[in-house]
Amino acid sequence: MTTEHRRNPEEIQRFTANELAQHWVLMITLTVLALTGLALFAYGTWIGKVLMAIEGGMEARGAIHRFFAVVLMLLTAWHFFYVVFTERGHRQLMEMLPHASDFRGFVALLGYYLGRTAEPPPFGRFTPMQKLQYWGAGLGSLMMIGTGLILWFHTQAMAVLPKWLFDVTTIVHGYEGLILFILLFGWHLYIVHFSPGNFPMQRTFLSGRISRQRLWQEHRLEYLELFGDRRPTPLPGQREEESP
Amino acid sequence: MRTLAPLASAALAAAAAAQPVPAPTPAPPPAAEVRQCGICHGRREFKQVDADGTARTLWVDERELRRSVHSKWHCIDCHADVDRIPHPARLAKVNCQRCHFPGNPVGAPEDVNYEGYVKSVHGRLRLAGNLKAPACQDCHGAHGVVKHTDPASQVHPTRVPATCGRCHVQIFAEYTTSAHGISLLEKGNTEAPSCSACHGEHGILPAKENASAVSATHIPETCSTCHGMTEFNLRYGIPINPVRTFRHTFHGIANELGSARVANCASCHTAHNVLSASDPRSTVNPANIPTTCGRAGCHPGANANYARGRFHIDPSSRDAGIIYWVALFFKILTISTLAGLGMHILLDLAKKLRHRHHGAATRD
Repeated sequence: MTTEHRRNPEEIQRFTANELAQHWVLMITLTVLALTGLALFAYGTWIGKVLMAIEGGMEARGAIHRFFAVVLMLLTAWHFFYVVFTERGHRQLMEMLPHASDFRGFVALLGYYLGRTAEPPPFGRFTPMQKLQYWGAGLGSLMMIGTGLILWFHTQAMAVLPKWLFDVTTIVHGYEGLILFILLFGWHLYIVHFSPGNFPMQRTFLSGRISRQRLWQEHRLEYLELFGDRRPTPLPGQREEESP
Repeated sequence: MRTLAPLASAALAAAAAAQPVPAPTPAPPPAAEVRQCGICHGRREFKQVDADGTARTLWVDERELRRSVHSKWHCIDCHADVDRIPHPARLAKVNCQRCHFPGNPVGAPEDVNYEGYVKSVHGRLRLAGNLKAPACQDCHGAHGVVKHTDPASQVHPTRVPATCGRCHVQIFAEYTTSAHGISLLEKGNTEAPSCSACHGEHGILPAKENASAVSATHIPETCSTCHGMTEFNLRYGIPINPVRTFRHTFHGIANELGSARVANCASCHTAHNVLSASDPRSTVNPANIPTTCGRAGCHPGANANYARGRFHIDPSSRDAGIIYWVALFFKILTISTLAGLGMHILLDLAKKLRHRHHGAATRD
C-alpha cells in the first residue's frame, strides 16, 4: 500500500520516518495508558470493572500502566531532543507554535461551517485543530507524567507533600487523563478517521505522504509556498478531497 | 434407674427424626431424684481436689437450675452416663446435641448452628482434642442456661465480651476501653458491637482465613453493616460515609479486588481498640497518623505530612475542601471539552454531508 503511494507523483512527503515512528509509539502508549488508567478511574462503573478484569486486576493493571508510563517518558525525551536539536524537528516545532492567526482561522472556519463564507479559510502546515491536538497531547502528557510520578512514588512524595496535595494530584491525574482521552480518542480519531472524506482513514500516518489535492484543500498556505498558484489536477478516478 | 430412650446421639437422632418417636414430656423432676443428686451436689462445700492440688467445686446451685430454660429436665437427661450412684468420678462432658438438632422431637431450639460450630476455629480445635477450646456450655453456661435475650445470659450482647474475654484476656482489655466497648458495656447501648457482631457467633473463623467475616477482604463489608448507613454514621457524629469513601480510594479498590496487602478498616483503626479520631489515644488521631501509616512496612518514613489533609474524602461533597473545588473545576473542564469538541464534530459533519448531497459539481 505504502509503496504504491510512494510511486504516486501526485503525492508529497509530509512526515519523516522518525516522525511517523514517534506517532506510532505515542499512539500505542497512550492507548494502553488510557485503558489501564480508566480501569481505576472508572472503577465505580461497569466499564472500569470490565477493563480491570481484562487487565488482570489491580497489581497487573498497575504494572502495565507504569511500564508504558516509562515508555511515554522515553518518548517525551526523544521528542524533546528531536524538536530542540535537529534542524528538521526544530522547524516543525516553529510551525507548530500557536499564533493569533490560528484563532482567527478557527473563527473563520466556524463561519464557513455556518455558511457565512463559501470557502474554508486557508491554513498553513498545521491547522489550528492540529495545533490544539499537538499541544493538548504534549502538555497533557507532561502533566500526566508529573502527577503520575507523584502517585507512583507516593511514599517518597508524601514525605515532602502534605496529604491534601497528594489528593489533589490524584484528582488532577484522573480528570486530566479523561480530558486527554476525549481529545485524542474522541476528537482526533473523528477528524482522521470518521470525518466525511477521510473514512476509513487518512493514510498520512502510515506513509507520511499527502496528496497534492488534499494539501491544496487543507493546507492551502503550505501548498502555495511549495507549488505557487498552480492548482493540482485530480488524478483520473480520484475523488475530489474534502476540506478540513 | 431411668434412661432417656430415644436421644442417644445426633446421628441416631437424624434417623429418629424420620420416624415418629414418642417425645418425652418434660415433667417437674420428682423431688426425691433431685434430692438424690443433691445429697452430694447440693452441698456448697462439695469439691474435688485434683492431683495438682487445685480444687474444683462440684456444687450445683439448685436455684440456678430452677431459673434456667432446662428447669423441667432431670439431671440424668443431660448427664446420661450416670447409671448408678455413686457414679464414676469423671463423667463425660454433656453433649447438647442430644436434644438440640433440627427436627428434634422434644421441642428444643433447633441447633442449625452446630454445623457452623464444627467448622469454626473453636469447633475444629475442640474436635481435634484441644479441651481449652470452648464447647457449647463454655459460652452458654452449664446449669444456668437462659435465653440469649435474657440480660442474665452469658451470651446476651452486653455479656458476650466478658464471656469471650475469659479466654481472650488481652483483646477483652483492649475492647473495654475502645469506643465500641465503652458504648456497649458502660452505656449499655446494644447498637454497639459485641465480639459476635463482627466475628460471628458459632461459625467464628480465624482472621487469616479468607472466608472469615474479619478477614482483610471482608472487613469493609462487616464494618459496613453499621458504618455503611449514612443515617447511622450521623447519629454517632461521623460526617461522611466511611465505607463508601474508602471504596473509592486506591486502598478500597485493591481491597475489593482481593488484595490483603493494602490497608483495610482495621489496618488504620485497629480491630479492637477503635477510638474516635479526636481521642489522643486513637491510632487515627492526627498525632498518631505517621506511626499508623508507617506501620507494617506500608509507608516507611511516614511523617507529619501524612496528617496534613483529610481522610475518607468524598470529592463531590463540599466538606472535602480544596479537593471538592479542584474536582468541580475538572468536571466543568471535562464537560466543556466534550461540548466544544462535540460541537466542532457536528458542524464539520453537517457541512461535509451537505456538500456531498449537493454534489461536488456546485463547487468551483
